[in-house]
Amino acid sequence: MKLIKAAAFFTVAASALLAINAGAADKLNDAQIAHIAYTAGDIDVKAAEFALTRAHSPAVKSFAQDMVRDHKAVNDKALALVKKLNVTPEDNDTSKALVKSAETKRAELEKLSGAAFDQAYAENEVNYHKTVNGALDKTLIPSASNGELKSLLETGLKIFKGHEQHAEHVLKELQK
Amino acid sequence: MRPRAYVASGLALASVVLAGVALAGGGAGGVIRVTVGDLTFSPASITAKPGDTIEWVNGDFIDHTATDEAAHFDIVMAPGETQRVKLQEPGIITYICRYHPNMTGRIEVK
Ligand SMILES: [Cu+2]
Repeated sequence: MKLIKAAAFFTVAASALLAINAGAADKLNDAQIAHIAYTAGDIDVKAAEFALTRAHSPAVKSFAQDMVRDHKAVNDKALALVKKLNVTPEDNDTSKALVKSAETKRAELEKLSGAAFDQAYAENEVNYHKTVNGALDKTLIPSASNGELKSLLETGLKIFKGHEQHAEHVLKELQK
Repeated sequence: MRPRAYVASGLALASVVLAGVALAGGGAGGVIRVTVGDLTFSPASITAKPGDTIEWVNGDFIDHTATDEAAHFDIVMAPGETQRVKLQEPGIITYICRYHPNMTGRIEVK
């Protein structure tokens, strides 16, 4: 039952990014793209920081540490880049929807503990990275006009694909 | 006491050579550089001699590690950092990045 609920919340989270995959994003400018990417990373940092207070399995804990470390590094890079390009990140419907769905997901995860938490967190990490990576690949990267932003997003995608596989591996281990 | 097989050292430290570890051909040894970039070790597979030093240079903006799966060394590289390990014994070493387990490397020491 709990897992079904977690899956339902994920659907909410995914819908925001799926919306941009569906083409609503042709109008996204670099300031919005940067903000979406930054927001997506920040959400994962916060989810990981929460997981570190709640996770039970050492593999889940070290995965969460990896998420904090990498997403912070990518976001620091993104902040430095927008500053350099003199771009002011712009809040937009996609970033707002991402934040909203992350809050919903957090509320769900807060009700869980122990192995149920580990499982739900790892599952969400798989799905979340899948969705964000799809959005980067199909929409955000192709839509970015500045070369440096595009290249940072590409590097981010490479890192996040690794996270997706890492999360899948952690989840598989938990299910053993 | 078994001699330690590997000696890890930061860039700032001078290479450490363990006294008493006699190895064939273990003179000064060369330095083999492995670039860490775009989440890959390059070259991923190298052949070295006992006494050689492996030098990892992290060109990414995220942290990586080079972690021997047999637990002889586990070094962490911040962005831009260089870390070294001196090889003392023949053998095959497989290593990964603990933070990104997809990153793998292999060293054949012979
Ligand atoms: Cu790594």
